[in-house]
Amino acid sequence: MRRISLFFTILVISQAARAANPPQQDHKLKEGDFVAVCGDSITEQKLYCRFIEEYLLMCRPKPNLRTMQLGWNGETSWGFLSKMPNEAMRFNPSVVTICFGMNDGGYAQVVPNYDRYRHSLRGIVQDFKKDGVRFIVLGSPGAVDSQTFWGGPEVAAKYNPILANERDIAREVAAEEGVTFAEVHDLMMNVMRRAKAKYGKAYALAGTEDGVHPDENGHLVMAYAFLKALGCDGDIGTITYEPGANRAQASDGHRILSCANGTIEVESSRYPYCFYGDPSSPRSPKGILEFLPFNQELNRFNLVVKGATGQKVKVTWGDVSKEFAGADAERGINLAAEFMDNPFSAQFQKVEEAVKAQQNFETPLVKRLMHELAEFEAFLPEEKGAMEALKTAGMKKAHELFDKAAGEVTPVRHRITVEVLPAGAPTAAVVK
Amino acid sequence: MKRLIVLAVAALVCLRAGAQLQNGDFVAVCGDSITEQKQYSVFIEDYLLMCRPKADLRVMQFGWGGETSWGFLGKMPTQALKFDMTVATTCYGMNDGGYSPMTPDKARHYKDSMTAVVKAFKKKGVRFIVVGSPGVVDSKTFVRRDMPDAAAMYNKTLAEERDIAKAIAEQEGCAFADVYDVMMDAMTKAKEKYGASYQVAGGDGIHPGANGHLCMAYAFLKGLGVDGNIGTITVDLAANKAEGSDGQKVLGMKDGAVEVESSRYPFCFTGDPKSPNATTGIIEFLPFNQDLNRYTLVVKGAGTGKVKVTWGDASKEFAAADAEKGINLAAEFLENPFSGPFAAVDKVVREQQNYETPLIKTLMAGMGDMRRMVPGEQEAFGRIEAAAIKRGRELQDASAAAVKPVTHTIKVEAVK
Repeated sequence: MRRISLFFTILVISQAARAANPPQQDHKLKEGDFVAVCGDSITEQKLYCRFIEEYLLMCRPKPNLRTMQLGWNGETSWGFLSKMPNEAMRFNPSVVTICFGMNDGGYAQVVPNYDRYRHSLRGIVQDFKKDGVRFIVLGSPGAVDSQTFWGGPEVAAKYNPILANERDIAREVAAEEGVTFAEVHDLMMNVMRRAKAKYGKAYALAGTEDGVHPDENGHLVMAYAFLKALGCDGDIGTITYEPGANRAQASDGHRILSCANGTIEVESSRYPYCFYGDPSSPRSPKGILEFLPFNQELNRFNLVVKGATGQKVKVTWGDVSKEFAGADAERGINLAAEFMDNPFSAQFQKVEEAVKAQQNFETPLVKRLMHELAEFEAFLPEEKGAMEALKTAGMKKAHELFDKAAGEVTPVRHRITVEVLPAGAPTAAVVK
Repeated sequence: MKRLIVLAVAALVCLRAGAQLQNGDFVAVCGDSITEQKQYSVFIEDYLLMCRPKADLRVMQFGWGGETSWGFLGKMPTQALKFDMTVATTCYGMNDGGYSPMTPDKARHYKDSMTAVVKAFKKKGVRFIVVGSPGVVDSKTFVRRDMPDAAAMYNKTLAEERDIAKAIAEQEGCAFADVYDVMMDAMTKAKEKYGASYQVAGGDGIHPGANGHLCMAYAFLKGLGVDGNIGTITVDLAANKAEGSDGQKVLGMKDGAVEVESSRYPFCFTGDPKSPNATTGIIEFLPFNQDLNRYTLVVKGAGTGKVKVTWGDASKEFAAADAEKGINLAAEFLENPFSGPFAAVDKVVREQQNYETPLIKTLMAGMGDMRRMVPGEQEAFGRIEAAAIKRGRELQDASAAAVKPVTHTIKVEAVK
């Protein structure tokens, strides 16, 4: 009896010690990582997960990163937990991001089962750890739109606090399990408030259609939250120009091909993140940038002009010219923020098309080949081998589509022309 | 030209002439979510397997939630028509009407699609087609926000679809199953007895419980032309002799107790009559037993008094004159020696039909997408599809094999 009691005492102490010192995971991306973006229909929209993949491929915080989306409409944390062994885990990701809660909370139509949410999130994290996933980012759910939510503004006012409670649970589970937390909810609420103040109440951040599924603007906010949690430092590159010496230098990922008469020709294998569309439309991520430090924290492609303090600098990049105070140019101009339409835009879109094709394939791969076909394994045990072969073929095809997307990220050659002007020179309008 | 007309008339005559079940028929029960509930389709299969109007019948259900006639039409080539059915029943219209008043466009769409469905089955070589009307929505439980008379409005739409379906059946030389009128009639009468809250078309007013599904099965079985003669046991008390009709073998008779081995069962009913999820409560408003379920005991030589009949654990007395005309045991003894075996077969049938939903909706429907996803694996897809269809057939065979002869005793005594 004393032995048993000693055993339980040791067990309790060891469990308490584990809780106090949870196994720490890596909190950084590594070269060659395979990132699985897991979530519900918001993930299956293939927007924030596409933005993440585009960033990881083109802005390249680490080389050879692969991304895959595992979004499933209507999914809950407990639904995903049960599907993991036959689906997510089959792909052997080294990094995962998790975003559940929108359906789990019940849309203020039922009493939320917070215990089940907590238990399921913990189960997901633990199962991923057991499966050898090195770096886990546990995200909070986002927000519903205060105006366009399908239940109306009053229900939205009830549901966002429920999502906030889930956010707290996700944060607690992340802390207990020693994994990284991504704060999606607060960020979306904050940006939504400020964007509506500028564009009006009708400007939807969490979806024009139903207030749950965001358009591109809300998805950029989500991508920002996850990319920050993934530890991306935002340094895309720096081009340093010394007008006096007619000399230019570039950081890793950018190569100076020539520098003559203020024109610097560069070959870049790391792209700045590019934006498109009409800023006043939720379908464009552009309009949200002023409420989100995306360019400042994740998208710094800097031009530094040495010795320009006290003068004025005119920069021409692609078809656009802009003037800057010399002191600002000496500190560094973020070309990605200042020149939305730039020499990377066309190639960025080309890569985007390939990423779309890849992520569009991943939905039926998971939902049909990995899930629905598995339902038939019980009925047709003799065909298990054929079904496995189909799944393997599907996974191989997904990899080929990813390789195609990655293959589109070819180095971009571009010219930056810098003219140092006297401080009193007349200011020219932006030229296009 | 004259020859063509003769051939066309002959074809029509053939279709009409062949419009009855035959031994070995394979019946496809097609419809929307009401079919996918797998209740009336199970009742039909239970009946065809156990009451056995013809030998070696097979049934498969093709129900699909939210389906319309035009949706089914689009899916037929890759799903239903991949099977070799000889008989098909169709029941569309509930979703086709859009849960709103009928319009000329809707009526045309329904008519064109249903006609095309029938023609596609004929082209495939389906010998016998029963075009069913839609059922009804429940006068109490079908409600729509801001529409106080929603059920009356929508039942009018469904009635118009019934007329269209009937006209198509006549025009195409098919049988017609009037599901609408059977349900409406039974619903009206049943609510008078049990109260307005007794649902015949389900809690949502659309998807019936077992009671409404029995009405549907009745309409389709009538459409399939079954004659309702399950069997007759004739007992001559004076001669101490008994005989059984086809499917009812008399093993012996002693002191009025007749031992019978039956390979054809009467249809059995279950549940609390007051519950919509029972089949027992609706049969008094539906001539199911009279038209489809006649398992008759004829008693001769019992004199002019009464006869007591004991079957299983129950006993009942009848006027000898009535017993001489024939007592329908299936109607008089709802709990009887077949109840257990019937429930056991019903369970196997449900397992079979439960498999058919993912077979159609997951595998057959998804196969096109999956084949496009990995085009280099056509051989594996072909094998899996063939194995899945074969498995369906095996389950149907298992349902048929579950029907074992039942040995039972009917004791008949003259009451003095």
